[in-house]
Amino acid sequence: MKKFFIKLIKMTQSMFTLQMTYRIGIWIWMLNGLLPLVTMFVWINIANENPLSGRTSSDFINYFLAVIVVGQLMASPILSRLDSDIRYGYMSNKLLLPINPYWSYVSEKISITFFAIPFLVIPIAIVYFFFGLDWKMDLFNVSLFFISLIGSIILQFHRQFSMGLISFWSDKTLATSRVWESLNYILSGAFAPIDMFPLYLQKIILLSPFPYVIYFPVAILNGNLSNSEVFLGFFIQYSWVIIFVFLYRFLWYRGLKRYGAVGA
Amino acid sequence: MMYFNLIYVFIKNSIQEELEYRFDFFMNFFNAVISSLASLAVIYVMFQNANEIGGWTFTEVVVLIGIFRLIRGIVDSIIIPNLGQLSEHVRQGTMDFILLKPINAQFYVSLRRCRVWDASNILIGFFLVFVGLFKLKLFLLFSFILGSFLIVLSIIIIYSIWFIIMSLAFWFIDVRNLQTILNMLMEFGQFPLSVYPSGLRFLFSFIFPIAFITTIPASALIGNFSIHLLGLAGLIALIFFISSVAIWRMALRNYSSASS
Repeated sequence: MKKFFIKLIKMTQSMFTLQMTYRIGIWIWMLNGLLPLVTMFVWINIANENPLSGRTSSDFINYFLAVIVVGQLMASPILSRLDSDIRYGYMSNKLLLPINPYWSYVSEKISITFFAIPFLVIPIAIVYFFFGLDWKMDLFNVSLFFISLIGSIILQFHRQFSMGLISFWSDKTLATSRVWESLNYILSGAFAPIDMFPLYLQKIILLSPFPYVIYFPVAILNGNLSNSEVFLGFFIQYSWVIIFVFLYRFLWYRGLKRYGAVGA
Repeated sequence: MMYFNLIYVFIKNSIQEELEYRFDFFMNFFNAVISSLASLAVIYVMFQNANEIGGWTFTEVVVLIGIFRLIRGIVDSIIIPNLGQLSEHVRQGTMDFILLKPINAQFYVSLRRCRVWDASNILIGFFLVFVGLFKLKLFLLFSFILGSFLIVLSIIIIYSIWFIIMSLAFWFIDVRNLQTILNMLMEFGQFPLSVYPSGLRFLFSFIFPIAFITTIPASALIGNFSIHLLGLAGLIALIFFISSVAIWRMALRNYSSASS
């Protein structure tokens, strides 16, 4: 067990060094995480002109700040990485390492998270100094937030991993993932808070995996959910986590049998 | 005249190349439909909570989204495939071969390729614009001509911006990453300019004039036009286009091929 952690830490360190040489590219890529700002301005405009919509402009600022922070922690390039590793045969090198290739993707995810730090600190500082931070920060709520955040990260990671493994069978992985991204645009809550949807739609959306990547932790942090909603949410979220973890394992072992590196 | 023939040859050649990947058309079209439905759904939710945003009704915003999709399709199928290659030409020194051709080099690097399959957004854009205008019962010939003219100007503006930024390759070699920022800024064009705070409104009118790319053509189509805005749009398109030519000339003077 100790040996395993040493391996994982070393891999993360070398991944970090590697990514450091591409830092400008990574930061520019992370700017994509600021995209929810576009709809934030529209929602603020709506809140200013229609006082009946239930939320003030500062509620929306705090909501979208949390969206950006949580979104940055979800970002990882592993889907396109798996796609190129499988299709160009780089997977062979990873299979030769004395550790399951899965962990090399985990280490990539961990190390890229460090690059997100400026994208977490700067937006929080701006909102704190200019608009006032209005998150529900008591110990109980913050621990609920962290439990949901961990669930989100694991869910997102295994979802991307499972989709990346489609490359074992098809070369249309990136096109397929774009369909997911479009659905994510509506259903994740990153561009329109789920509780602004008509009620019957909310019920359906909350059964899907999409809101448990962004909306759920964000809503907890903003104190928008009642206790019973939170516990039901945890149940659905962790059910999806289990489903995707099993899906990734299934696809991984199935795909590996089919894998023949380029040139083999 | 030669240039029109060349455009014809370029398009023919690109289509021949693309016919190899026919399946991509379906993927692309499907993706474009889903992502248009996604952005319409978000707007639908916004209008559940408001009667108008920034003074625009739902149908009017649909026209705006149509224009946005149209421009997006042109960027994806013509501007990015060509100008995105500029960095590679500079890095590998293949720019030499382009400069040796007996035609305008800026014309060649800007229009050589055309990714036909990425053009689905153009179709969807037209569709949304016509559905919007149909629902608004607006069939004014004058506003239609004016709108089309403003769309041409907006294509010139977005092309020039892309060209100016990608020309930085002559100084910084690989600038393809900067397209991420351009793509992101373009997303602000999905909503009318009037929803943004005043600082951003200035930025989107004169520095990265997304307002002249989507909002103003759309408002002309739905019948809110003024002759001042037309003049201003023409002026901005002219300034951006002239700067793109000037920067290209400056860049070529600075260019010294690879490995020399």
